[in-house]
Amino acid sequence: MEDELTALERINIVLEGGIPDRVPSLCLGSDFKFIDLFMKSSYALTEEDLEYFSNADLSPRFLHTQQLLAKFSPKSIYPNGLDAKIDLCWEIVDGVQLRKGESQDTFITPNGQVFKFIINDDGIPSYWYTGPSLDSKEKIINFWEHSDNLKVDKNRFRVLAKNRKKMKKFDIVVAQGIGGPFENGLLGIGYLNFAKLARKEPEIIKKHIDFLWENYQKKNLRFLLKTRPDLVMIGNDIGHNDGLQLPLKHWQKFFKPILKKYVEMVHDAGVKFIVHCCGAIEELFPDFVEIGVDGVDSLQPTINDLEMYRKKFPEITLLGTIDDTDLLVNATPEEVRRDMREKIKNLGKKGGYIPGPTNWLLDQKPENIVALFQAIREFGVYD
Amino acid sequence: MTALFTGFPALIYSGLWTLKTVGILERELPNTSITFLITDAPPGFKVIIKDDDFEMEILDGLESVEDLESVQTDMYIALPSHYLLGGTEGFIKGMSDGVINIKNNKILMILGKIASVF
Repeated sequence: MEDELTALERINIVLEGGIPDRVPSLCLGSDFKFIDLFMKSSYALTEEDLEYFSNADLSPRFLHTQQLLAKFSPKSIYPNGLDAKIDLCWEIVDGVQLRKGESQDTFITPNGQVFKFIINDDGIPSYWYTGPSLDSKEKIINFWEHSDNLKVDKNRFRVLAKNRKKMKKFDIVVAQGIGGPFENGLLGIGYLNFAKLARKEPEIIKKHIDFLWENYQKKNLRFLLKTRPDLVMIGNDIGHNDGLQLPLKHWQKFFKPILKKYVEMVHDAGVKFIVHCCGAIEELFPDFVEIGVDGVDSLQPTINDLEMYRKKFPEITLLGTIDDTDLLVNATPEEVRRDMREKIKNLGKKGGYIPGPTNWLLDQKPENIVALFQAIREFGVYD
Repeated sequence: MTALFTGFPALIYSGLWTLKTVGILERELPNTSITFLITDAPPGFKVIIKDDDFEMEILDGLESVEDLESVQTDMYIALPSHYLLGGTEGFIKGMSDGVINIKNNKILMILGKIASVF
């Protein structure tokens, strides 16, 4: 099966509201656990793959393991590929390096999030957010005094153009991005602090979020755009399983104005803007339309009314939507194929749809992932 | 589930684990032993790469650069965390600032491979 368009043409047509040759596919990338499962499966990289990918200078980058993404290629692109084409993946960058936490087994992001690398007793690594470091008003105010800690290093963006070029050989588009305003603003100070201050001293929250935008996010975004990305996708998980992680009015007051600035900067550079946003986020869709977001990713199907989104918000391309916590973990490949066929019929008939697992691959069955991407090619053809 | 390693040992382990799991360790890294000391996050730890696999051990007595001379190891590196977390650029700066101690320059190739994961 030969494609008529390149992945980038196909994706841009969809994001512009048109109908391309077929439905494009999305795989954000893979976490450690999925790499382990994949390499223990019958699809594991062979010596021949490693030689080919080494010559193509692919990197096994965390969450952006280029060898795995390329292995899914159609035979016309890579003869030993799995014929299960991925069109779009995601790479996140931060212009400021991590630093050691107060406790020496933790790492702190520039905006104050505490993370831990943990090697589990099965020997498989994991990397988790464990809480905020700016957990008092005094620490937040002190943070503003040290804007020199947020000096964005343009060298950290050099890799982006190189990675796009490498993946282009496999006709895979790399959406590139930074952390969004919600994650940057809230996770560094914590939910408790945010809830308290947003009600009693909202000017502190406003100042903090504006401070981060001016001193950190805007500079990151500027350097990212200088690399001339094909697409920008930012990470901004605002939802949980039952709704938003904060009252809608707080989202609209504190974070929406900053997200609007992201969208404007990216659109001014002539690039489409996608937001990755986990959870049940129906309440946010009117705001996404208003500020001009081109696509929304994740959209867990068990907690979002996808058909309603499709009908009510046709301006927005829906990305993700394939259940990665039950279907892709527990179902059979045939059940995955059936789900994909139904989803394309219900959500993708008129374009506006880029399906894929709703998050980084973690504990899904490799055979289900292969079945998913093969099904998108099979059932996604437009007449 | 308990953690085998956290912190800097876990960071280095994660890089080596990825290289091993996707088959790069076997193809591109030699059998060797490497000792790491993050000077502001002791104790140090030692990695043994052998026969397409690796093992890691925390060296509880390894607290300072002086202690490194008594460790049996093919290579070592001692540096402050800031320079390790700065990637290639941070590493180059650390070398020019003279704050990185190395035994055996071949360690640079191995660090480059680990850095390719992050």
